[in-house]
Amino acid sequence: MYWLQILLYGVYAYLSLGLIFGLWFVFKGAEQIDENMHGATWPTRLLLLPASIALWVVLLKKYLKHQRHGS
Amino acid sequence: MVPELRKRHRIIWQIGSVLLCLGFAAAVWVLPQPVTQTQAFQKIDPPLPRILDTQESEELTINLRGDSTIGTQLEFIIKEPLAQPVAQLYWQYTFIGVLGPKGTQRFPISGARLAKAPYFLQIVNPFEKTGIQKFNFNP
Amino acid sequence: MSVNYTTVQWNRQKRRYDRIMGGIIALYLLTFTLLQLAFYPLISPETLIIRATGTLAFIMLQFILCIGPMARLDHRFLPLLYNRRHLGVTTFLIGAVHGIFNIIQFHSLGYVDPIFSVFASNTHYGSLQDFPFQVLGFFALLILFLMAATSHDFWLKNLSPRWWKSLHMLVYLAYGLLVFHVMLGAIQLEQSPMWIGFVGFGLFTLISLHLMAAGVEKKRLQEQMDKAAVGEGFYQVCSAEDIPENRAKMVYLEGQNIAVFRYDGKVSAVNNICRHQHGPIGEGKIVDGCITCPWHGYQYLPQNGQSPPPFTEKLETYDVKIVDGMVWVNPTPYPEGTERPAAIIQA
Repeated sequence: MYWLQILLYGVYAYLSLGLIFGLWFVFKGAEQIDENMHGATWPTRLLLLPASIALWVVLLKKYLKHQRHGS
Repeated sequence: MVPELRKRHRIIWQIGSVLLCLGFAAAVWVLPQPVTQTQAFQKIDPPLPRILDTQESEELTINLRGDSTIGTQLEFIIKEPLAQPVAQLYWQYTFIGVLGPKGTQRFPISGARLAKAPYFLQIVNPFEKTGIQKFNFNP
Repeated sequence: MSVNYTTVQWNRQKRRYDRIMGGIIALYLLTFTLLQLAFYPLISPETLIIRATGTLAFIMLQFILCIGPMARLDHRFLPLLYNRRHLGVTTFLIGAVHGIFNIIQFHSLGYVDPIFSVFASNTHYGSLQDFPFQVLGFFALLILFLMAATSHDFWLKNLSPRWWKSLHMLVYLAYGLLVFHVMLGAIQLEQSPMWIGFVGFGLFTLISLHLMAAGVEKKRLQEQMDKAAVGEGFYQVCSAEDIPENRAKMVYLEGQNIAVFRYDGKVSAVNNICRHQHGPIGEGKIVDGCITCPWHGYQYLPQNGQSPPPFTEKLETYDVKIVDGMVWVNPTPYPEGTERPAAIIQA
């Protein structure tokens, strides 16, 4: 079960990074990939936070792709 | 739904239903069976015809039965569950058996132990030396 | 629709739906609590919460999965489909209470990480009878979490509908995991024929509904293709009388999924796939002059497939004509939002 403990630490690390990314994303990044986010309220943004933490790698890729094509 | 999506649903359910049914059946199959205990006192000697003497307590009726030609036996009729977890029986200081928790039980008494009345029976809980019950028989 | 996002999209019907849902949930919890207190007077509050939320979440998921095929078999169930999203999120929240209380009660009192303990406290992974069933519940809850967390329209748009739909189809896996979570967990402990009967009945109902709906749809599609008589690129679909007022007939012609609507003595055809979540527009009806998708209420005008301003969604449109009371459709699509004249039904 040693490997499980390591795997679990990996998941925690992933989620910690996700929290940092997610907070930035729901308050700043999301508006850059989806203009409908302009003027979204706090509750709406917080509602998006759990999935932003869980799927942060997907969103980061999407964001970077958007930046490249946008500029 | 889009036809393509519908097809995906159909395939998922066709495969899924087989797997789920098999799994359900397997889970029922492995259900632990209720534990059946074999009774410790299945064979009960038939009662001997004559009651020579009877002693009563709140929990027990004890009959000394028998006649001189066939032999003698002690019959225990348990009226209420015994207070003690294990009840060892001693007849004239000799161990004759352990009393079960319920029903009617009979223990044969050998002729040598019937030489001279009065006789006495002790019911002993081996875990606690207290709580010894004593009965006297004088047929 | 394409205006700025709101936290929860509520309207009058959705509020009513949610109130009814809340009422039934409250009634279930109350009844369950009273029954448990009657049968197990010494039950601890934690155990009561674990049992009540576990059974409720399982029943709700079972019900949610029945809605789709029920609505396809009988259109009277369509209102249940509408707002299924809130039902799903609520199911996750109730399941989460069950999971969290379990982890607190059974896994957080030792010195190891509680999540580690979920996986490592029982290692009989090779046994069916002693299988660590909590692990199954853990993964099911994880799937329900991902679905609930991505249920907002933002995710549908930004994860792409295809990705989103695939993610949400994992609900079937979650259901399978939960059936085994229950069968290898609570059922092995209780062994009560009543509970086995409940799970079996639910499973049987769900499988039958899905297979029946799939069969009916397949047959319907085939019949349509067989019946459609061809003429100058037009296919004969049905008689105008066959379409109820403000409703649609759905047809599948040359790879095009088309909804033919009848309204105000006219007939128009639009693409049957809602731009929002690929919902079946033809199962909806015309409300206030707009085609309204049964899934989430997205609206389109029948003659040009456009959402009324300020919304921007558009559907492909098709040519329709009526000859001797029969409706003919040309399955060559016009670009999204193209205005096409409606066919007039002669009285």
